[in-house]
Amino acid sequence: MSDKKITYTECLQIYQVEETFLDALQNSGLIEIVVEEKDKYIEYDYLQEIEQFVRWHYDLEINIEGIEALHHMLQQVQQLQEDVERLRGELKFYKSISE
Amino acid sequence: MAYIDYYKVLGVDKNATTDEVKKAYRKLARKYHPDLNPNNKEAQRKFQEINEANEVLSDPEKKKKYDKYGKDWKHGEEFERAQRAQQSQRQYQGQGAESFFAEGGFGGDDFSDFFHSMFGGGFSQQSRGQTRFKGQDYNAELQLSLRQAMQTHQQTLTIDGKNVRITIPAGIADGQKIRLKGYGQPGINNGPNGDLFITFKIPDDPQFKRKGNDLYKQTEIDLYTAVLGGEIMIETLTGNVKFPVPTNTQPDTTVRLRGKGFPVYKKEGKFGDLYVTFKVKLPEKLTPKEKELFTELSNLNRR
Repeated sequence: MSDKKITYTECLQIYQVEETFLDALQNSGLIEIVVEEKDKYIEYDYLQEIEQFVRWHYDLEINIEGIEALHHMLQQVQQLQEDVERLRGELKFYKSISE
Repeated sequence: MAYIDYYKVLGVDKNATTDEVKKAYRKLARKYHPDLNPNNKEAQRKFQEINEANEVLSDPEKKKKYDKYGKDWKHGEEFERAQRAQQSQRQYQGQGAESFFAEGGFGGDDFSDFFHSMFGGGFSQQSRGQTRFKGQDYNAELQLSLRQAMQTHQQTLTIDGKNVRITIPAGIADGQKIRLKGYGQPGINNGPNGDLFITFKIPDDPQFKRKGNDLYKQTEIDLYTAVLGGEIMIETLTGNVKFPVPTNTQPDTTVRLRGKGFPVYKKEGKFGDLYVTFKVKLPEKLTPKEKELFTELSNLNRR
């Protein structure tokens, strides 16, 4: 195994998932499977998200379309949370200088 | 140690089948799962609760024991044992005010005292969520004063018993998060380690307000300096500077001291500006002579 990626087969074994699941994630653009000399690999950077998608699919019974939608929504929620934090900081600042 | 009504938690009745329990669990899990409720501690707590209820009610043996003894469960030997086990739980402690917690919510560690006393520490059921390869990420909060944050400095954190020396670059912002790759929980089966995320908290400084890289402060000047002008000393974060107040300076005038603000994050030698607002202090008591002179001034203006 290389330092930064695992093989597609290892990924199937580790997470006990079907090929169709990983392929569907790739087809939805949620993960990227790279091919090098006929072998398929998944980069470590995707592991965190794969583990999350596995939980959503197998523990919560959310299908691929649902995962796609949730993933997008979650990114928006996180962006909004960051915006709220930033605005809260600015509001605090303006309040403090108007005192 | 409070009794927990697991049936109420999942909203099922006592005769619910394992399938019904699982269905109720999934429905609630979809609502409260930490993955879907980022930065929501209440949802995390709720998820632990339904996880625990599911753990008991979907396992026929545990359910049987719970139905039989649950309500009358008393403090006993098992409770004490469970408490001891809890005390030896992982704790991440570092210097200062930081605290560490692992993200996720799949561990059995957070189960209630009631659960531990009845069933020990065990989390028996295999959930897919436990199939892990990459170690869990850790999250930590680190509190810095404004003055600490303005200098690049090192701090030592203790993570899983190991000391980790980190460099905090000058100019870090309140709420900023940095990632230390590989400093999270060790990977499982040769998987990569999780990461450590540190969120910086910088409480307000009584004197300097910060907005981005700029600092704001108020400085008091007396009436005479405001009217006639004069040199004053202004305290900045890096020391005192002389400032010539011009004649006829109006109250609440703001001046900018270029480069006397906060260091710009990861841009060495670059600084924001310091904005100083002059608060003009009027005399509170006048001597007869002063009063006379003010009256004279006032009369001069009326003519």
